[in-house]
Amino acid sequence: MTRSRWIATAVTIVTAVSILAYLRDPVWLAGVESGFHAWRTGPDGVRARWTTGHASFFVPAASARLAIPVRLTFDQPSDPPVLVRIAVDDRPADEFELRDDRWVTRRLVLPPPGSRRLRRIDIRVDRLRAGNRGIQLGEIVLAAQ
Amino acid sequence: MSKRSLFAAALLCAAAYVFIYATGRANPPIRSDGYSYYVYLPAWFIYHDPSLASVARDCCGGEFPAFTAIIRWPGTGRWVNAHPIGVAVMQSPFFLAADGLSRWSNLSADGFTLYYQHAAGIAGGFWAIAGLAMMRRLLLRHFSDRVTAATLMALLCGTGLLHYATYDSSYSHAYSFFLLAALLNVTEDWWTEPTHRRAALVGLVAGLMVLTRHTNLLLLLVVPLYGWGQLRSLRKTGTTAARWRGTLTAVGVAALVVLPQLAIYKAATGRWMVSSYGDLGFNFASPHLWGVLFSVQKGVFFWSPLLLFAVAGFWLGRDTTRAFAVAALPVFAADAYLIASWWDWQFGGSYGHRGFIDLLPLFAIGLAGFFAWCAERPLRLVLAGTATTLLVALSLFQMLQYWNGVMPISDLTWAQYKSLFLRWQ
Repeated sequence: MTRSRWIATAVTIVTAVSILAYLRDPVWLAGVESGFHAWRTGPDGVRARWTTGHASFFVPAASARLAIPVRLTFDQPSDPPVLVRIAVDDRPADEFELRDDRWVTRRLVLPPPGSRRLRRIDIRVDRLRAGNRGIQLGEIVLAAQ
Repeated sequence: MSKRSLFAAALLCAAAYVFIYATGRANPPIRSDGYSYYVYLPAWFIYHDPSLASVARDCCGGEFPAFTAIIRWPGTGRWVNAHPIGVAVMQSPFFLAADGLSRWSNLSADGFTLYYQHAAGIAGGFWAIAGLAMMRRLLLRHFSDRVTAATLMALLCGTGLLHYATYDSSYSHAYSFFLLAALLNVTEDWWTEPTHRRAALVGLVAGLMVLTRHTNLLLLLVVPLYGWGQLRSLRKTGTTAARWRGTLTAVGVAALVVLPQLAIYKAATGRWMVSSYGDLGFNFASPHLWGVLFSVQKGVFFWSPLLLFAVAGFWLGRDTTRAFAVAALPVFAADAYLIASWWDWQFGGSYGHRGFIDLLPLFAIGLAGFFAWCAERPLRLVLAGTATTLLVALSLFQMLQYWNGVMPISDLTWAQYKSLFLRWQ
């Protein structure tokens, strides 16, 4: 291998390792989310958005508690209840069933922060309403203590 | 020069891709048809459940939404996907990288978060550029470096290829484009020297083409038709027995490549071959040939008029393009008839007619023939250069109109087109 190839290989490896190190816990991840429809304000004045079957978002790892307002609509009398499961960094954190259309606030106590700046919250439902809609999620409230 | 044009093509695709997604001009890449082409990957690698049921449970509360064209098969209740596995197979290296990166960054490793989305999007762009590289290899055997460079850039910018390499890159068209370009290469290689390795490559590419889009079966006609176009010169080589053995090898390899798809159908429905489109299918008695070729809605020559030069190029450059013309013209005619007979002959919302993107490698040969003919006389060169520049500019502008939501995605009327012509908003 020529000297220039050695240098090119070394630069490639260093670049790849640096990118990986950066991507382990980037700041912009706080704004990354998936599985949500757009925000809307409902007739009750509550700003909320529908999830799809699986939604995920990030919260600061420094947060100790989390309050998540959730609701489900029952447009048809035959609409069945929906089982909702919430996980924090892939560990089950809450499981409940929505049987009526009232807003419910689920409160989660988060484990102590680990080595990352952010924690991932995943919300899954066991069935969808028409239009690829899971449940409605209001504005999440975080508490440091 | 053609190497630099390939590099420029890759840069242009990368810039267009960043522009589209950084400015929110398109939803994340795994959408519409792109969803059902892709959905096999999380099923195989994350949920280890080829039946797709686990993906449906995680992504969609147990039932795939209607837009996915993934239906429960009557009788078995198992999921059947209207789209085959070929695109997913070709996306798999990108998917695996995205999966590793998602776990590393603590993104949800469900197959649909940020890195997965852009892995699927970038994969289409990659294969489109790989297709151009394949075309470069082929064209350089028959045309000058300058003609090859001009052809590659005109093909990318003067047709819908750029759109299907970036905006709708998770659809199958960029993949079919690459595979047909590869098939033309390996077909010419095999007819030149019929070794087992070359025959196996023909089989591999042919199998992948069928896996990518079942109707690509029709495009495989280029393999025998190319040979027919070369019959006189081939008779002198005395390799008939080797060609028959090679044909068996190619068919055997292609069958092996297609086998997993048949196994998936068998497991889901109890049958080896199925169509999950239900009552939707082909109307062979009333094809919309004018519609798919010339109409304002989706006509391929209306939206990519540069391709008329390619048609002329097969005649004007016939000394060079004869073998390919013998293959290209019947394949184009048959595929146009097939596309025109589909119940939704516009192929839904799309820029230009996306069904013909798959055939662009054949058009590239005609286009190169045209450019080579023009290069023989300075006046022709000036006129053709000016016309090509204008048509490429028009194509790029209309593509931007589509990206900006100015141009309707289907059912465009002539009155609408006139009112929107060269309008930015």
